[in-house]
Amino acid sequence: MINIEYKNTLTIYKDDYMFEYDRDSDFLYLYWVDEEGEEFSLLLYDTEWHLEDCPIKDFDLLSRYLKIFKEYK
Amino acid sequence: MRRDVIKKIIIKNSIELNPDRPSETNKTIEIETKSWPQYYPYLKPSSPHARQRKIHHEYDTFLSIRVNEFGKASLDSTVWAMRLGSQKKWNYKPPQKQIKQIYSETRAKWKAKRDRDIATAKRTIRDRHQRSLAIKAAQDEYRQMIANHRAHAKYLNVSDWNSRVLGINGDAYTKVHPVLQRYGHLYGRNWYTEDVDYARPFFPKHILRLLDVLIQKGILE
Repeated sequence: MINIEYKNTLTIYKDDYMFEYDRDSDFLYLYWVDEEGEEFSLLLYDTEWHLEDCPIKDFDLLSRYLKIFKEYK
Repeated sequence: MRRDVIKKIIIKNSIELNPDRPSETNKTIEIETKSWPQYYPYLKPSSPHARQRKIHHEYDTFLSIRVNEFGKASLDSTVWAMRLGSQKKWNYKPPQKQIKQIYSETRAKWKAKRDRDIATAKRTIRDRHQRSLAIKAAQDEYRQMIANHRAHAKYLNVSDWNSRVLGINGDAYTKVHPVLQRYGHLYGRNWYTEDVDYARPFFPKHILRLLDVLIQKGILE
């Protein structure tokens, strides 16, 4: 029995980063791959960006992308 | 029974936005899954030493396909990307302590110690019986070092280490990803820069199994 899980997402690619907004859970994820090919993901909250863990320190950019995602119809 | 096992598939109906032009979008279906080989009954261990066939090598599989005007992912689509295994770089020299395979330099080091012990015994022990006992002890110690190492190391060899620790599929890494990259269909990175036979691309069983499931479920037309 194969379990299939569906997700509806919005993505924006920026340089080597991928922003992914899960429309069902309302979560924003950031994905990136380091120079050794290690894959990372970070769950970003608009109330608390966890910038110490986030490779992108541009708060305005993060806010802008989240706004675009939330306003997309 | 299938040749490859898939338990869970995540399907993302993804819309790619352009931050400067949010109305210009690309719609893709992204499929993520993990699969591992179903060995028995297809491969029966030929000997008690054929241990690798009993080990689950589980790989991430990723497929992204741009949907057509009917909103469906089609086998005819020309915009797709695929990957089998992680994006990590192959480690040609995992720590010796972790792999049963003994590097030639490690073996040489142990042999050198054995030979030193034997030479010392020959040089310092006069009694013939005692000398032969000391030589035998040195040889036994060498064999025991190998046996102890094999008993304690967790992974079989370099490939097994890369597969189970880094999640890299060796076949895909060396034969499939370079070809996919050349034709613009690789998702993520290709690290392999050696000569590759681009005329003979193939899909590993993990990817074939995923395509088979997607067609059966009507996700891929």
